[in-house]
Amino acid sequence: MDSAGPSPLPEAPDSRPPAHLPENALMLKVVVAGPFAVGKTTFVSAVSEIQSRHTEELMTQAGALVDDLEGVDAKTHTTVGTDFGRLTLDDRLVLYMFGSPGQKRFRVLWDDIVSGALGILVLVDTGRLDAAFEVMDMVEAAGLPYVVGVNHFPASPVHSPDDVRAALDLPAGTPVVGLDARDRDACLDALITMTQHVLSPLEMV
Amino acid sequence: MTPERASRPLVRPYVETGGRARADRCALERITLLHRVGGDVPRGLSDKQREAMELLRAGALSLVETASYLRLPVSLSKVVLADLIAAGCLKARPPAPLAAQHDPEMLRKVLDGLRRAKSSS
Repeated sequence: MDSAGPSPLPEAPDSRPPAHLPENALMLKVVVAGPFAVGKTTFVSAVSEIQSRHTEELMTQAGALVDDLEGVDAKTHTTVGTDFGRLTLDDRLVLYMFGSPGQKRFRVLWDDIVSGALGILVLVDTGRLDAAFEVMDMVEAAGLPYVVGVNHFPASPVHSPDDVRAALDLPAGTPVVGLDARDRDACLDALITMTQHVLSPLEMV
Repeated sequence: MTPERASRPLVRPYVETGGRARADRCALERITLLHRVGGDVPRGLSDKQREAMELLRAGALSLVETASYLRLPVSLSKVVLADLIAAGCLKARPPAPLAAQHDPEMLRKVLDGLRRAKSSS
């Protein structure tokens, strides 16, 4: 069975009862995209108010999500895992964060996760910027506001935001923020930058 | 279908949902909010449907959270949950529409909430 870089599962994923939401909650979502092992799961866990959770999707050889169960054979299917968490913003607004594998072979899943999102935070590692190209293509195609977050790995070279912007050929004005995905406040700052990036063109009208 | 390994969770769903695909599940999204309607759980539900009703007994949850507790792929959970919605057991509340997401006032509320979540605030 093929797998898209399984994220580490919490040791006891169902150990806690679900934390319920108010029935009138207004739900929003952001996507945390990036190549394998760049820190998407860490980021989501850092910000989430619940223990971050995991879902597995089943995909056909043709790359479709399995939802019709005729003749499905697990051996011929790919599973792909995604992590998510949530953050209650006020008495009604709830923000969901979805880690999403930015790989073209999981395009159907990507489209489903990205659809209707407020924006995308793309995590990159300066030691492996080339690994981000495929994700960047998909992010550009999604047509949503996005911000690039440089997750700092001790072994990776330090690059200025301008260097990262040039290396990834980002449009001028694309915010690039440095962060440590283990640091909750740094992750929140990246989400604040992303939200401001969504808001600023609307305020100029 | 006989699963080779009964412990593998990905085989069960096909049994659970009986191979049905419903048109109305298309309206369901990952962050659709689900909550129970009425007090009683009708008879004749599948195991997963009973489990979903139990999960939602104490309040509302997003579809994706429900799926993760049910240990089912999201796409299959939609089939299970769409049946419960069609049967009037659950109500689904769609996520914030795009118009709301482009409302500066709402985005400022998002910013305020994110700032409040920081430890220094």
